[in-house]
Amino acid sequence: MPTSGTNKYQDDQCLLAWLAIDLDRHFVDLVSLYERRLRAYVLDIIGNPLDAEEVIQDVLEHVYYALKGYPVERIRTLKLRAWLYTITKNLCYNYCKKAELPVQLSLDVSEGDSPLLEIEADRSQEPEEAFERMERLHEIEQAVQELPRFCREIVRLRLLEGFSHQEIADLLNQPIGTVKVYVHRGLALLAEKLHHLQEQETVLQ
Amino acid sequence: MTESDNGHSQVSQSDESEWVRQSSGLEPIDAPDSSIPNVLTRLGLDNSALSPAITEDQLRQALTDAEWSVRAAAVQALGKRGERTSLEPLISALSDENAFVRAAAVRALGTLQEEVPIDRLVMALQDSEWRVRTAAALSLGALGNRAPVEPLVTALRDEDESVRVAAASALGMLKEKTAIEALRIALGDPEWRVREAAVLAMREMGTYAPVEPLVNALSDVDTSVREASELALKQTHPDIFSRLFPDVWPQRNVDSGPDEKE
Repeated sequence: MPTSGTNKYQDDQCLLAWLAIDLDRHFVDLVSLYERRLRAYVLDIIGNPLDAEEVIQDVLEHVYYALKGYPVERIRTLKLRAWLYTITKNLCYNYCKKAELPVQLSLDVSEGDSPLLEIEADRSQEPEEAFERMERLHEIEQAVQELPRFCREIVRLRLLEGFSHQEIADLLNQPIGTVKVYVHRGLALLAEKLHHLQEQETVLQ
Repeated sequence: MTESDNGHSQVSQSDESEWVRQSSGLEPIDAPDSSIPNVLTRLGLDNSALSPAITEDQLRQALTDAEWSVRAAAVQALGKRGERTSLEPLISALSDENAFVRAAAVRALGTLQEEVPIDRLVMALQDSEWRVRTAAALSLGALGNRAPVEPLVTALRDEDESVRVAAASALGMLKEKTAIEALRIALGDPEWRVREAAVLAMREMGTYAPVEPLVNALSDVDTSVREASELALKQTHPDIFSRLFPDVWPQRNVDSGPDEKE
């Protein structure tokens, strides 16, 4: 039996094993582990914190009922993170559609007037270099939140959640090439933003 | 009383309801910074709202509380009493104005294996809220072969995706062969979760599961559906699976079959 706290699970597979044994008892641990990350993702898509709060609660409710209906062996073999984000994305899009809200994010490469498309690919400063200088995760999250809407989702998935290009492509139903382009451009823009923030901090100091 | 189904109570607390809370040991939950308390309350998983020493009379009294969270917790607590509790308060709660309370009542009734009023659970499939209909489908599925098949087949056409998923899962739990054709149709559902649930339900049919739809599902656009169909095919028709996947058979670890389901 795992001990108290959300660090009691070595990984998602461990959590899934416990969820398969007793969903009602361990669901709170799943919520504790993923609520904050999913909430940020919902906020990226929905935009409005009040709407996002309503959606995240609905998401977690849907997740519970979905797990309740799964055979135990399906729970054990789930790719939990990708599964959670897929459900979340679908419910966000449904919510936006029903509420007639604009979906905040799009991978439509036809957005030719996007400022990101004008960013040179061979930037002298690699995004990773800028990330290493930013020690606090919340600062990066803040910067991600301020990215243009159409690349925010992809950057979050790649940088903050560690999704592979293929996983993002599967989640968003987009060609992997498109995903790679947007990851590159989104990270470049993020690097620029972080670099700018650092310069401001230096001036203030 | 003014309250919404979004989990945020907007109740002006009367002296009477305050007295009920104090006397029953149930406490309402305020709007949280985190979603966790509210989500757990919605799902009846928040044990902290209950005093361990609470009596059935106190729980019945709490069912009239102005706060939906108190009523839902009371319903949940009554359900946990199992066969020791009387059905009447739980059945009454099926008519509560709040969907979370009705869903809690459906879940609670679904745990009463012997006494469960199946007709009320079937009626709950017609509820206006998805969460009540979803809980009803899953509760019916948990009853096994005592549950009627037809209402669940009808629920496969529900407007809400989660209800259709739950209906497919429930039909799998029933292991009812007459539902196979309906599940085959559900494999054409536009939502991947429904298709996945239909595949997993077919898997529960064992060797009766039709091969062709499961093989077709191997090339579904969605990864989860493909994974589920692989799992299903391996367990229901291992000979065909081994011919389709000679390189991975028998090393691929798709564990335990339907009989091991908890």
